[in-house]
This record gives sequence, structure tokens and C-alpha cells, in this order.
Amino acid sequence: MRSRSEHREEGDVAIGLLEAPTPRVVGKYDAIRGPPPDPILDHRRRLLYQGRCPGCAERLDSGVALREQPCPRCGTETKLPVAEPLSDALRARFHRRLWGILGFVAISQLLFGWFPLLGSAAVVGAAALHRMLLLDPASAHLGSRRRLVTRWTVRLGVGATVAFSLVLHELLVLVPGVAGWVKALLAAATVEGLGLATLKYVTWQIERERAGVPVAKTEWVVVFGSLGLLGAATASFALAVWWVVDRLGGLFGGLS
Amino acid sequence: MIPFGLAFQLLGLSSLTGTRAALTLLLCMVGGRFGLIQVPPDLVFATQLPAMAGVLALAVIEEFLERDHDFSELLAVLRYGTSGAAGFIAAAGLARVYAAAGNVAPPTWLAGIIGVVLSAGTFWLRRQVHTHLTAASAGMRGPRTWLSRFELGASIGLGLSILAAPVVGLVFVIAAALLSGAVITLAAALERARRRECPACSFRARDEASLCPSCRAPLPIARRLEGGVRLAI
Repeated sequence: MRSRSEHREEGDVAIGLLEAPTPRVVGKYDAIRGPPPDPILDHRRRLLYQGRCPGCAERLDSGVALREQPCPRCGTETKLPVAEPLSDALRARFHRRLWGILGFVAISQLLFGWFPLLGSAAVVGAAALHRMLLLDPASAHLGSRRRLVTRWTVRLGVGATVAFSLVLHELLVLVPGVAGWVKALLAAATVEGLGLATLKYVTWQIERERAGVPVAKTEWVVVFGSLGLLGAATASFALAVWWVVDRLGGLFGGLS
Repeated sequence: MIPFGLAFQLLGLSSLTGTRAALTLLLCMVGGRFGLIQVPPDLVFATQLPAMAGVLALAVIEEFLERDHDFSELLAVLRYGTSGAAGFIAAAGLARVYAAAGNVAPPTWLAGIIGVVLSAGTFWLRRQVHTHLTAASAGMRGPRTWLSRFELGASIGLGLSILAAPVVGLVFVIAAALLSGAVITLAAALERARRRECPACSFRARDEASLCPSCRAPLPIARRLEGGVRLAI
């Protein structure tokens, strides 16, 4: 496997692709990659990053470039130059940003962790950062169905973990003396664990997309099952609230 | 002669079902429960808790689906059906309410058909706008995501205004339709401006193309991409 510096020397733009969505990092893109060796090749690459065919410049269906299929309109080869080192680039990007996110979460917890809910907001913010910096750009080149399954599965996993972590954090407020540093450690561990799990899952899906493995039925069960559970939970919650309000109304009516 | 109030509410509610089908029905049910709508005896079941809880669950699921463009597109045909059905129920129910109160109202079936047409039309218009916005930029910070969030608040506000002040609701519906049309026209004009004619087959190929997608003849690149790269799906 080639190192990151080797990718840069050869003009690969793995880092540039992953950092492209933010203008600040787009600026870095050219700085990292250096002057393009061939203006036509550079033009064709830029079209690919925009999700267009390097030949006819029409929009490609998502996943075509990652699967290295030819353009269905003009037959031009659409091999994404970054397809091979995409997983490495994802990993590099994640580790580069991880320390910043961890520091943000740990310091927020130490400073505001004693205040109910405020410290937990940092964990929620870190989860949103994960989505913006890791999940959205990493899943952008997947086919639409796999992208849907990938994003929903990650959101479910992150949502459930963050919810559990928040309950634990708020319970720790009740423990005198240890709340601050324990909460900071717990929050940092949660953020790192979520990031590593997301990274592993997304890179696994990228490899499957490249290999042309279809989305498994069980993956759809996760998505639609969670939607069904969500609906059932909402209806049950509404009925439970109504029952409590009804009982309280009867109780107060009886007292008066 | 159909009363203006009914016509305004019919247009507003039917259009709203093309945006948030289950949420519109839920708002009507809540309006019926709290006396904003005079519900005839045979429709009282719709204002009871089990029915409202079920529609609330559907509204929550619908909101999750609306936020994800891939999901929306995957279930587009199904969503045409749900929007049309909700449009029929809302419009037919409204006509039934007006008739039960002794007002002049169109037949239930006719109101229902108007509801289906308006609902499906609104849904089609929204789908066009969402597709153009997703093509411009996708992801958590993309304009499509923000429009979807705005639509939720606007739908609740519009639903309440249709019940309380139908004229205000109708004005908003017309303004939203015009704005959607403007977005689609602008996107199409921008796309046309970025194309030129292929000398061999007259197909209008993109300025950035080096190959005609129609006849595959080589083309000179009329606009070379330079500067920052922007990732799109």
C-alpha cells in the first residue's frame, strides 16, 4: 500500500476529494497537490469530482465513477483517480480532525459539565461534526441506495449511542467530586468510538460499492424496521401522554 | 356558487397535502378536536385519540423521509400516492364539513378529485425544486436540507392560517408556487446558458465537454474548469 506522500507525488488527489466540500479546504487542495501535470487531465478530474462525465460533462448517476463503469451516454472511462486510496484518505482525514474534536468535547465537559444538559450539548455537537466532516463527504460517491442505507445506519447508531451517553452524563451530575473529569473522559471515549465505528463502516461500504456487491436485504430491514419502530414509538408515546393527562384530569376533578 | 371561504380552504389544504400529507391531515384533525372545524357526526372518529396518534406517527415518519433526498426519490411513486390520497381525504372532508353545516358545497367526489390534482401538482413542483437544489449542493448544509426544514415550519403555519384566515393561506400558496416556478426556470436557463451546439449533430452539449454525448464527435472544450473543486453527488 502506498503512503500518503506517495499519493501526493503522483498527483493523486485523495485528500483533495475528501476535503472539497468546504471552501477553506478547497484552497488547500491545490496547495497539497501542486501544479497539475496536464491541463486537460486536470479538467477531466475536476469534472469527475463534480459528479460529471470527464468526456461529455453530463451528470453521472451516483456510484458510476466509484464502480469504474463507463459513462452510459458517451462511453468515456470514468475511473475516479481517488478510488483506490479512498479508505486511506478517509482514515487520514479522520485522525487529523479527531484531536480537535476530542479536545473541544473534553474542554467543554470540564468547563460546563457541572451544568445539567449544557455539557451534553458538546457531545451532540461532536456528532453533528462527524456527520458533516466524515459521513456526508465519504458517502457522496456511493450509489444512491447504498448511500441511503449507509447514512441511515450511521445516523441510527450515532443517535442511539449519543442518547445513551447523554442519559449517563446527566446521571453523573448527581455524583459529587468525580462528575467533571469522568464526564470529560466518557464524552471523549464516546466521540472517538463513534468516529472509529463510522469510519470502519463507511470504508467497508465503499469497498463493497467498488466490488459491485449489492445492498443486502438485512440492511434494508434495519432502515425500514427503524422507521416502523419510530412510528410505533410515536403513537405509543402519544397514547401514553393522553392516558396520563386523562387520569390526572380525573384525579383533579375528583379532588375539586 | 361555491363560497370563497371553501374555495380558498380547498386550494390551500389540497396544496398543503402535496408538501406534508400526514401533517396536513393531523392539523385538520386537531382543528376538528379543538372546534376550529365543525366536524359532522360521521367524521367524529377522526378526531379521536387512536386515529390522531396513528396520523401523528405517520407525520413523524414522513418528516424523516422528507429530509433525505435519496429516500424521497426511492419512494417517489409511493409518495405521489400518499399525497394524492391525503389531498382527496382533506378536500372531500372539507366539502363534507361545509355541506353538513348547511352551506353550498361541491359534491364530495368532485372536491376529492380537485384535491388529488392539486396535491399531485404541488408534489411534482416541489420534487423539481428539490432535485435542482440537490444538484446544486447536497449534504447537511445544502440548500435542499434547509428548504426541507423551512417547509416543516411553513406547513404548520400555513395549515393553521388556512383554517383561521383562508385568504392569507391562499396568498402564501400562490407565492410559494410562483417562487418554485421561478427557481425551476432559473435553473433551466442557467443550464441552457452553459451549453453550445455540436457542429456534427446540433445536440446542445455542455461547454466543458470534449465529446458530444449524442454523436460522440470530439468537441473543443469551451469552458475549462479551474480554481477550487466543489464536490457534488
